Amino acid sequence: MSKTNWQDPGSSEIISPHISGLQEAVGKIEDAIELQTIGDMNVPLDEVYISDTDRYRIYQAPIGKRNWVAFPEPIIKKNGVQITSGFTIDYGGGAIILSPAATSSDVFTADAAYIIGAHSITPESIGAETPWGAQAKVNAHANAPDPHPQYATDADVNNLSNTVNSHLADYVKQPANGGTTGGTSTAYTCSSNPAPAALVDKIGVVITAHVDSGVNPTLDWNSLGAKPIKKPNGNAAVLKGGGIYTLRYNGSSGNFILQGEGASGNATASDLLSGKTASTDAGDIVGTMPNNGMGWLAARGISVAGPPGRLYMYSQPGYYNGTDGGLYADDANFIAANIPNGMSMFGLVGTGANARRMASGTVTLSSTNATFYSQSNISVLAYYATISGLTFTPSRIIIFPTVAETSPPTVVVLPTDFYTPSGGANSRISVSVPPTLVRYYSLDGVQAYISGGSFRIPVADGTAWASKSVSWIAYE
Amino acid sequence: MNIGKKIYYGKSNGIVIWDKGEMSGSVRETTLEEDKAVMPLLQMVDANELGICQLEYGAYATEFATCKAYKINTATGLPEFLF
Repeated sequence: MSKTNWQDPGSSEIISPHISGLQEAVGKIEDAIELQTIGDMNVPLDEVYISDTDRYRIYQAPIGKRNWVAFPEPIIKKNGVQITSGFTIDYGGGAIILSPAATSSDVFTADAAYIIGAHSITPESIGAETPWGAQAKVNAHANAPDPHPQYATDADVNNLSNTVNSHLADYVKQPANGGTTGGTSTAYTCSSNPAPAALVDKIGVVITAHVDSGVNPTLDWNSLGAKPIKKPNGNAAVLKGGGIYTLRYNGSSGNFILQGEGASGNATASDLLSGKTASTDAGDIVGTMPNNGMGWLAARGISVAGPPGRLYMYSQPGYYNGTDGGLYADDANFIAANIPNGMSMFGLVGTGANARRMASGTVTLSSTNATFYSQSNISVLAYYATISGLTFTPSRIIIFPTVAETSPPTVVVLPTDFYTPSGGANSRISVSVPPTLVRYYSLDGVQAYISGGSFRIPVADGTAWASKSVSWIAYE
Repeated sequence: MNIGKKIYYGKSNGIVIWDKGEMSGSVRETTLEEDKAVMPLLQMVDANELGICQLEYGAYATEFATCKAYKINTATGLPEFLF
């Protein structure tokens, strides 16, 4: 709302336009608030003393009866008689200014209407709340069933309280504080407040075990009956004294299930690598199993007490990674020289320097003779022995009668690097017949031969030797 | 190893064609084909006529050492000795 600009005109002097403006503004205020007036008769006007030299000139109504209005026009009386001249009216001050001045005996009164403090504005006239209207609203508010819907009612609070109490007793949604257990290491007891009504599925309780658990521990909660305490995998739980455990009841199995229990298994310290740790059904363990890891480890021992061709090597206890190294056993005799030439033993191929194969047996000489050649290339009919099935090529062969004979031939076949045949390089077959006969046959490779694991050698030329049994020995 | 006597004989009459004898030491079993290779006589006998008597090592040792002759019983496939 804009206001009248009573700007300082640059002088301290109050000039008449200022007064006029103020009077107009006051009048507007009075109109706006509808100040009431009251008419009064014979309002005494008292002299306003100015100075001893200026007396009986101004007379004024008492306080409370000033602020005269112009309409109706105030009636001024002097000594009870109305006067209409010789004075001016100061409406605001409720006063008259005489000219000329009166005398000290003169008495002045006024019939005037003046503004009083009361006004005609009512709450209704300006649309404001009346006291009774406000009271009615207060009463209605107080009596309303839910005067503040944004705030909880008593019923709401009661319902909430009931809900909280119900929740506090709901040990499925929140586990109960079972306190520190009592009982024994295999039969724990505990209690909570409020007490559980029954053991229902998933109802939970948190306990502090007072002692280490024994075998197959149970828990009796508020005397609802002892129930086994199990791990999730079904094994009996293992509790440590002083440990805090959360248990949930399994309504199907009738067991308390230890929550957050991840450790299980039946490993022992010897099952676990040395220095490693693990948690098992029996608790934490530290491994003691030697870690043989990589590399080669001497066998704890060897044995040949098994099927032919097998060598047992006893392992050292511990872990092997299975990809590197392994077991070994030393034997100074396990060298190529000690293995027959060409024979492989555990991958080591023998050179035969210290070991030669041999075989022996019996054989029946041929039933008919065949032609062989002597050292002088003379053909001789002789009965012969045929052998096959040797695992080596013999360099030395000895054939002799199986039973005693009057003139037993002895056949010797020797290698040329072992002796120098008297009949030439091919005359490696010597047949000795007591007392003096010695015959040399040519190992010609056709009639008489040594080939691979077979040989055919002439033995005797007499018919008596047909189909005779003889013995033989062959060396590599 | 020890390998007993292997005797090839005629199935119809039990006559011994080749007594291969018995062996021990660094020896192995031989096949018929291998034996035919070293004993051509076996190749001359009809396959259906050729019988084989494989004995345990050392079997009939005394009998073989003391008999005058032997043949194979065609019914039993075992040697029969003449003393």
